[in-house]
Amino acid sequence: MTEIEQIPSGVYEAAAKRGITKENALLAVYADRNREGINCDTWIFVTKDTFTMIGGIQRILPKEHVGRMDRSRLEVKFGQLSFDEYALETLKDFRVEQQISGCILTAFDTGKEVYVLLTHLSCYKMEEMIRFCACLNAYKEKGTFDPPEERENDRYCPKCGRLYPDQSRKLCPACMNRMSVVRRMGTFIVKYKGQVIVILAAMAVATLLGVLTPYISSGFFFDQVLTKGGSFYGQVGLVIFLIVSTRLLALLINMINEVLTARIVPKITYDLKNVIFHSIERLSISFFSKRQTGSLMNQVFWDADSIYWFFVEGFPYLIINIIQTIAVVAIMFAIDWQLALVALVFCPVFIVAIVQLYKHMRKLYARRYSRSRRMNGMLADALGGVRVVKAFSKESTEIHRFSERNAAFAQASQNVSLYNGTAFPLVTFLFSISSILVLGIGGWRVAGGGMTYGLLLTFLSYTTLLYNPMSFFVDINYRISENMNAMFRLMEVMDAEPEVREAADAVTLTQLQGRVTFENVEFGYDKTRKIIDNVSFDIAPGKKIGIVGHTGAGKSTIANLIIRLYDVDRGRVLIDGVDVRCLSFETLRKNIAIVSQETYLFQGTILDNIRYAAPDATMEEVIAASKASGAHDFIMKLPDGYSTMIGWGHKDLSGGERQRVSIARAILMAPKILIMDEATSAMDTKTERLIQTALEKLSQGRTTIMIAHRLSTLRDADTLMVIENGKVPEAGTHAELLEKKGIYHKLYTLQYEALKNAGIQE
Amino acid sequence: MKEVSQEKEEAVCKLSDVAEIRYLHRGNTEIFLKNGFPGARIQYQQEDGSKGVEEHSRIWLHRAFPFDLLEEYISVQNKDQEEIGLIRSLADFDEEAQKILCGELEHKYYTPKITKIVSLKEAHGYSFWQVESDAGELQFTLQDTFRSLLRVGEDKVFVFDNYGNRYVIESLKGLDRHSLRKIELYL
Repeated sequence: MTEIEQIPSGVYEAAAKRGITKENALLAVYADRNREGINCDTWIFVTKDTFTMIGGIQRILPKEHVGRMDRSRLEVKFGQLSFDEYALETLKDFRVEQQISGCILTAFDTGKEVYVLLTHLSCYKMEEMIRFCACLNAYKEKGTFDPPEERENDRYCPKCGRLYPDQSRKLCPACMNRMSVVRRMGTFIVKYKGQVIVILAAMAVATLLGVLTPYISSGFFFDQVLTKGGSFYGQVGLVIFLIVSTRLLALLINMINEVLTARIVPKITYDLKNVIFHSIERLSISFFSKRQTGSLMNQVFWDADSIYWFFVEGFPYLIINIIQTIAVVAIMFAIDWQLALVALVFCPVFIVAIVQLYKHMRKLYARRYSRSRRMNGMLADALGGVRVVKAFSKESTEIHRFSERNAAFAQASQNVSLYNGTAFPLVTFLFSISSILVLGIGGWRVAGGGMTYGLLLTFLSYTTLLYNPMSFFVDINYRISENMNAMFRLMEVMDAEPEVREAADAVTLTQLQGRVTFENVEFGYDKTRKIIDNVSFDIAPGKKIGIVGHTGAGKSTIANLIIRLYDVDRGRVLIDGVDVRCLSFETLRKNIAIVSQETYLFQGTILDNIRYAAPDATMEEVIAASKASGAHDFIMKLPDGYSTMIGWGHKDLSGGERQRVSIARAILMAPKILIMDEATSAMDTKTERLIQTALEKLSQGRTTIMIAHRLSTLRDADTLMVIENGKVPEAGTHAELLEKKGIYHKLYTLQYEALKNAGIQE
Repeated sequence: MKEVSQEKEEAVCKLSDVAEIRYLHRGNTEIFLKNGFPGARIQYQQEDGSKGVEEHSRIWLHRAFPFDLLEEYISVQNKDQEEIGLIRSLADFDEEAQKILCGELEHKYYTPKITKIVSLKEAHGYSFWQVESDAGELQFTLQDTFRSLLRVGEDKVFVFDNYGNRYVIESLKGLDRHSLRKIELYL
């Protein structure tokens, strides 16, 4: 919502004609499309009695040039196009409906008894509009405003005027300072400060030696040792000694360097991977549903390597190369400034050539990468789905598809190699032009006696020493920005606040009764759609509750709210009379177990999987839990029994078997509250019955919440709750509900008929 | 060969019979506009053979193939997103109804068409776009550029920004050279 004060004056001029002033406007909001859905500037004003929409085009004229979009220094000219006015009392129930690319604002017109379309808006403005609606609806109900805390302007980067990509952390990636990122990431290597300094020092010494060597082996050797009259004439042995000792020194330093690097690199990447994994794991479920698991895995490993590269190789080498270049250029000028100019005159040409080369190179590599990804993706698809391919005898189509992608990849690889093979030698040649020039002009000087032969050789060696740093500088910018991305991503994950957080003064209950209460709970996964709508119920300790309803009615959502995978939007979820938001995670996780529709088994033995939540359980307890869940019998048919490896790349269990293992896992934990969310859906009715009878005995003094499609599963429940469209229209025992002849009765007759027709009598 | 295709046709007929899809057309449905929303009055055969009429003061339209078929196979839904019927093609309706339906579809699927990419910059894994479109100059941000572009066919590209807005490049070939060069890397 927009602060009344901040609305551009041009808009007020238009509004004033309709009697709206800063004084009588109560609430204002901006939408970036109009009723026809076309992009334009729509301002909505609410006064005591009216709801007014003014559509128009805003032209932004900078008063003075400060930054690109500094809003406070902009003057807005407003050309009005359309105007709509409603009496505020005729409208109610303002709501935002999500469209494909954007939203619409609608309200119920009490005069016409229908919902009317007020305006369109893009998703950028959705949140504000939702807040506006909430505020306005509350006003209609209670007659008072309680304006939300967040100010509209806080959602934008003050520097560039863009919306923050993530509103929960006000960081603009476009305006963020590189150094601040590096500084923060640098904390990872602070631990290894000592070693890093030694490495840097070793590198510096190695560079110095590298710069010195050409002087000893050419300049000094030829001019002072081999030339008559030189101060060390004839002392070849000395030179050999010098050369050998510098080489040895360089070798030693290099070895120290390598050993140190080898020692700390795995440690740093280990730390990084741990930090990334830890950051990811602590986040709430909602974070994962927004992102793909695959890209997360990629992030853990790729980014760690990339960040390590920056600190251990990229950054130090940058410094070394700068030192080397400065030293070499300085020496070259000291030897002969004219010749130095000749040597350097070609450098700009060389740099431009390399920049172009890398640019094109990157494009070729990117293409090869994306093609290899396409090929590998197809390969994984075809092999993973080999059963389907065979079943529809589509082998030839798949072979054709693969060979197409393979050919595309081969072509891209060829392009890379061709380019590598031709362009790089060309650039090297370009660079060698300067050497040839130096050789020519220098040679002429030597012949004329203006320069010694040794100096010329030294000079030539220095020219070649420039080659590496230069190609390094050209590429480093790109590589650093890649690393910045990795660091930024990592920071993003590290900074992301889990939406569900443990309260600071969370209570830990040791002895749980098992009472579960919902008080006017409202919840939706996204803000425009309520999944749970004002639901209240109370489950006494030790009771067995069944929840029935259509697919998507909100059954599993109730389970998610009890175990607090998500927080409610409104109302309260209470366990033993305490709000779950005040309970410690430990209390929740130790006392509530859920067997959900998605049974996930980790890689490992069946025993490990069953003991996942209760690692201290004895073998006897494990077998008892398995027996109760009906898993024991099939496990004993496996050659390796409980030690059978399951999970990726091992034995594949069937749907029903997986469910049984999951149930065993849950009951082994001996929770006070057990939630079974379609936990027996993949089993036949007979097996289900058996497990139920066993559970029945186990569930003495334990609250059990069963969610199921199959009504027969729930027949013995103390209370049945029917969920429809996020509400609980019916609740009672099986008999009561049948008597009522409502939704449950309809569902039951349908399923009963279906079973009877199929010849199954229960 | 001919026999086979005939057989296939029969099989398809049977499939649609089994699925019991109610196709809406000018013969059984009247489309009207009420307060900015489309509504429908549908005639149907009651079990006893007599004709009944159901009226929906507001209907929701949803394209089955939003990238390929813009005017065919459009699901008509009520406020609970339950399908009331299916429109095989907008051409099954008279002009006025078509206008209402088209208007609603255009609203719902409103997607600015990008005509020129003025600038495309990348920083910290996000890309910042400044484009010219049929809706004027637009600025938006993509998170993970590769995944945010969806290529439909050879020539069309959908762009999804980090707030869920969509934009479309109707024809890559129709873009100028500079614009094309800016996005080439991501395709």
